[in-house]
Amino acid sequence: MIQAKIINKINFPEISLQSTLEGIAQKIIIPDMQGGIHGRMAINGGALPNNEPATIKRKGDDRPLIETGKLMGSFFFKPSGKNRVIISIKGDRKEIGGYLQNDGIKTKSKIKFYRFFGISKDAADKAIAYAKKKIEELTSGRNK
Amino acid sequence: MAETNKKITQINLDKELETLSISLSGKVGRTALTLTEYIQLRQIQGATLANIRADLLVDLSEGGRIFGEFVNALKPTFAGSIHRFRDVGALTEMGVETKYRWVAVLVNTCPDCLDRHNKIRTWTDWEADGLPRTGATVCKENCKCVLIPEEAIEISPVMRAK
Repeated sequence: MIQAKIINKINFPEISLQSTLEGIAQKIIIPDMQGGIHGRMAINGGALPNNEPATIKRKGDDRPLIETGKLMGSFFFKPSGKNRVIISIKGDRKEIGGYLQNDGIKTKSKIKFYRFFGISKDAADKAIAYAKKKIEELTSGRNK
Repeated sequence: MAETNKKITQINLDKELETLSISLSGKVGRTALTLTEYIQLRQIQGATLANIRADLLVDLSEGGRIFGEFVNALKPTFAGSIHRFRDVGALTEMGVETKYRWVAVLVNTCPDCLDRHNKIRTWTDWEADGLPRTGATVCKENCKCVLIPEEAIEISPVMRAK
């Protein structure tokens, strides 16, 4: 007897976007965070808080989050598994950065949060545009 | 024993809070094709490059099967997602293979989070269902839940530090 069995599960192939993710991490997300610090812009919009007068005096510079340049050079990305990229900060800057971003600096009148780490709206838009460009390149028929 | 477990829970939460990490991910499959291989496969099956491009662009813009998780991972940082990066920090420290328990604070907890409370899954499974503060639950970015490694047994309500 011939039997037909209908299986209600279709296994579509999974698509790895690893190279696209690495490109976005390297070319968009990390430069965006570094650019935000240079431009004194918080990752979630608005300006980074100004340094306290005592801090400016000590550093001899009023740029927030920039003193030795160590933080700027500490961003990195690494592949993690087949389809994942982790972006983070190396060494002691990670702990210090976490403190500045999440705990904030207590001043006399308020707590200042230095929101420098994350994905800005601009970076998110650029990443989508990057993926779109990648699709267009791969389906142009020119890269055989 | 109870004190030890409490310490483990606190250590993991502290670890989570002090890490700054972003995870960009796509859907992980056992036999994943690259985008190029997928396009070649579709061509072998008879699809034109124009059709494949149109399908992929729709998938990207609508967050479909191929690009859905990628688009979700790219949500810009604002109030809720700043805390989301703390969660991802746990991933860099403990890895994807570890199983994680969803722990709700059990104070004004939304029905979605109550349903997930104490359930254990891999990070990938939780990602597929929606991590805390990613908008997958009724409480959306206001979610106060945390994912802690399975081994850390919750013995009292977890309070997320600011």
